[in-house]
Order: sequence, then structure tokens, then C-alpha cells
Amino acid sequence: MNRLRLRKYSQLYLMALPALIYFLVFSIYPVIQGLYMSTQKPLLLGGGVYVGLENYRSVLQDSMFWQALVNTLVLSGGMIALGVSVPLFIAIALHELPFAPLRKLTQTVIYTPHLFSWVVVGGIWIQVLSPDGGLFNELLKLVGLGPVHFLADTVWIKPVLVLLSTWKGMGYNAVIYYAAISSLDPQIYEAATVDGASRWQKISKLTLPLLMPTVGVVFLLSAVGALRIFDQVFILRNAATSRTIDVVMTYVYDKGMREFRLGESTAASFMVTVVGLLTLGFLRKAMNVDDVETS
Amino acid sequence: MASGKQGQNEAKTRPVSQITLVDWILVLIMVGLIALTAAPLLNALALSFSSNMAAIQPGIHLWPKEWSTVGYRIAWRKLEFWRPFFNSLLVTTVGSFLHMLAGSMAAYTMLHRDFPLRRTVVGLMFFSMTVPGEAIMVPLYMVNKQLGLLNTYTSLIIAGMVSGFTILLLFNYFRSVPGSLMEAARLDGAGDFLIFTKVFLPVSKPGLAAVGLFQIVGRWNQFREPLLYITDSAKITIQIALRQIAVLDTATSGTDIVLANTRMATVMIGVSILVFIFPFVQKHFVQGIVLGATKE
Repeated sequence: MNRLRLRKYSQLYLMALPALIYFLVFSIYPVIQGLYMSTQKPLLLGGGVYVGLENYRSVLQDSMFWQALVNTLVLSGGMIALGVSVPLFIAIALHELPFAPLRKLTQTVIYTPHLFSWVVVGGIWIQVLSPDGGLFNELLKLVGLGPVHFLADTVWIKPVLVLLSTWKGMGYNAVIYYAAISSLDPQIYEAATVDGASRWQKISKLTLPLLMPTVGVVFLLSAVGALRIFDQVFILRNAATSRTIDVVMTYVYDKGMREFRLGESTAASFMVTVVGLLTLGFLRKAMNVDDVETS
Repeated sequence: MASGKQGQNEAKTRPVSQITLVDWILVLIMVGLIALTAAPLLNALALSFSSNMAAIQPGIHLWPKEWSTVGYRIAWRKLEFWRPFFNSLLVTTVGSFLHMLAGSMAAYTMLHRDFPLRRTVVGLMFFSMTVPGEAIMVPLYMVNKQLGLLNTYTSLIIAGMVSGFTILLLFNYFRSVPGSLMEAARLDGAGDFLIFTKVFLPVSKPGLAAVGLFQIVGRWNQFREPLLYITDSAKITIQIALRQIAVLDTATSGTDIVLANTRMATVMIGVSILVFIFPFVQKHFVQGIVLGATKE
């Protein structure tokens, strides 16, 4: 009987094998390995000794960690606020625009940077924001300002990072919002027109309230990535700005890959991940997103 | 692009007599948005095709002043940018193919409710979807080290080879295939692998296309993994080389410092592949996003 079952499913076992091995070796095992490493203090001659929660305590006592956490919350707060609102504004403007070809062109152009890596975005904007001869500083010079060293100035670097994230991602979120607006029932709008509603009334009384579920989804999608920002900070930081913009994940990278303090590195990433997942679960519950999505 | 799924609720192009001041303001906003996106890109493109002299002169570069391909030649030959370019091409192609294969096979096994390992596959999948890749980057480095995969293309191909999101997306396509079709094929003596390739893969072409495009873009842009796993300069991938040249400014071509035209040439080579797949992206990718995000 058992052999018969094995025979019946033999090909299925083979087909499930790559995924099973991958999940075990590159998902379960690293988590276990990481939890283990977070309780170890490495010895000089290799190996480690169990230190309990010592690594967790030293991370919590490290002012750099708290600084990184605050930076993460400020940066991702700004990125979420602009990333949710600016595309909403763009999508509504696109919907109101009476010229179809221009609408298509705008959507296509502003979507493009979403496909670029952060290295490409960084390379392009380092050139544009360069204090000697960069496009933006040349424009500032025309009105008698600058030059400003945007990427090396601790005052400017945070807003610049938030704005670059918005620049890169606004087309993507605008497409999501625009699709949601296009799928609304046109009869509601016709009825509103018959009742003599103005354009502004249609936006504020119809479009915006009907879009709220989509706004919730976009907010959650952005919030998922909030604690995980790494690439943009890693690529755009330098000696002058790293204290101002270092985030939790760059802290984890620096501790683990530069200082080889694997215990503290993994302890920090586990604490942040657990807190992040709990917050997200709470947000999902509080916003009732699951109900909204299926209705 | 993506003019909505049904696109019923869209403003029509109106006759000139009905166009108001607000409409012209909207046009201005659109032109502003296009300029905001296009100007930095045009700036990079113009500089990449400028001569050395033109590249170091300050001023507004939106068009090449002295047309030249010297930047591309220095990047490609002297800085050996061809090497990371082809490395990335290899890793992207093989990695995307294996990702689609492993994911679709796993999705197929999930269709069989009495398959003994089904619960295990589903459980592990949801676990992996909960743990963010960034959170385990250092343990993942250790795993690759223990397996002797550091400084191999294999490490980059394996990274993200199976994804729960891909499996779920393809599972949804597979579910739409009527069960009677599978029964009929089985009565004809077809094994699971044959049914999978002949029946299930063809019906899920749109899903596979979306996954494939998503993978190509993602793997071409792969950054964290090569940063951690690859130190051998002959094996670095395009994003790492781009960072060295266009961001860190540490690369030098012989005795000369690297000028803006060379730096922007590497950026243009870096986005070149995206230009080729952009038309397909418009067709599949955006629909995929919309489907995924609004679940309709």
C-alpha cells in the first residue's frame, strides 16, 4: 500500500523537490542559524560561546541602533506619506485630463523609473545634483542660488532620499490608482452629472471615497517595505551623511559584514523583523483590509 | 499603457469648445510630470554621448554638445564593462528560467489534495513569504559560505529561485483548468510531468510571462546578493560595476579619472535591457501589478 502511494506520486515528489529543498536550505535553515548566531559570542580561534540574550542587550544599549531606528521611521514615514498621496493626486489628474494620448504618454513616462535599480537612480541623480555643473545646480544658478551639495549635506539628504523614492515609485502607484478609478461604474458619474454636480464635487464626493479601499492597499504595500529599506541608503550614503540616514538594515549589514559581529547583527535584525511583523499584522486587522479586498 | 481593465470609466477627448481653464492646468501638470521624469534621463543620455571636453563643461546638458561615443568605448573596453554585462545576462537568463520552472512545478503539486507533501510545501511557502530577505541577509551569507557558493554564479542564480508569490500566482492559473482534463490525460496513461508540460503550462502562458518579466527586471537589478556573495572582480554583476563607476567614482581608466560621459554611458548600458523588454512590460507586467494589488 505504502509503496503503491509512493509510486503513484513519484513524479510529484520530484516536482516538489526543488521548492522543498530551497525553502529548507535558504529560508528555514538561515532563520534557525540566525537565531543560533544571535545567542553566540565568537571566540578568537573560531567557534563561539553561548551568551544568552547578551547580544540583544548590547544592541539595545547601542545608540547607533536607536539612531538607525529613528532614521528608518523618519525616512520610511516620509516615503509612505508621499508615496501614497502624490500618485493619488496624479491618478485623479490623469482621470480628469480630457486628452487620451497625453494621458497615455504621461503614464508611460512616469512609470519608467520604477524599472530602474537604485544604483541606476543613484548614478543619474548624483550627476543631476552634482554641485559642479550638475543639471539642478545649473538651474539654481539661473535664479541666483546655490550651488548646494545635496547629497553630502546632513540637512538636505533626508528630504532628497524621500523625494527620490517618490520620483522612482510614483508611476507605479499611479497605475494602481488609475486602474481602480477606471473600473468604477461610469453610471454613478453620469447620475452625478445629471444632478448637476460640479467637477470638484465629483472628485471629492465620488472618486476619493470610492478609492479609499485602494488607498488602504497601497498604504499597506508601502508599509511592508518600511523597515526593509536598504539599497537606496546603502548606495547614496557617504562619510558625511551616514549618521543621518543609516537605517536598521544598513546597521545590520555594517555590524555583520564590516565588523563581523554576527551575534549583534542577527539580534538586531530579528528584533526589528518581529516588531515589524507584529505592527503589520495589527495594521491589517485595524484596517480590515482582508474584508475590503474580497468584497 | 494600462488604460484600465475595462476602461469604461474614462474621460473622453472632448471638442475644443468644452475645454476649460482647469483642463489646461491639468495639461501643464502632465507636462511638468513628464519633464520631471525625463529631464534627468535626458541629461544622462546627452552626457553619455558627449566628448570628454563637453562632458566636463558646466551647463545644462539635455542634448549632446559634441557628439561622441568615447564614453561608451572607455566604459566597455578600458573599464571592461562588458564583463559584468555578460555576467548579468547569464545570471538573469538562467535564474529567471529556473525560477519559473521550480515555481510552476511546485504550484502543480499543490493541485493534488491527497499528495502527502502538499501541506509541507504550503507551510514552508507561507513561512518563506513572512520572513523578509533583508532580515536574514547575514545568515544567508553564512549558508552560501558553508555550501562553498561564495564567488560563484550559482549563488546568484539560487538567490530567490523559489518564491511563494510566484507559486500562488501560477496556482491560480492552474486551478482554472477543469479537473476532467487531467483525468482524461491520466486515463490515456500520461504521467504527472507530461500532464504538467502539455496541459498546464500552455494554459498559464500569461501568468508565466508576467512572472518571467518580473524576474528578468528583478535579476538584472539584483544588488544585495552580488554585494554580499561576490568579491572576485571577474565575476561581479552589472549593478555592482555600475556602483563602482557611477556612484563611488572609484574606478579609473589607466591614469585618467572617469569623466561624466563614461559614467553616464555605464548607466545607459545598465538600463539598455529594460528598453528592450519595456513593450512587453506594458502588456503583461502592469496587468500583473493591477491584478495583484486590487485582487479583481
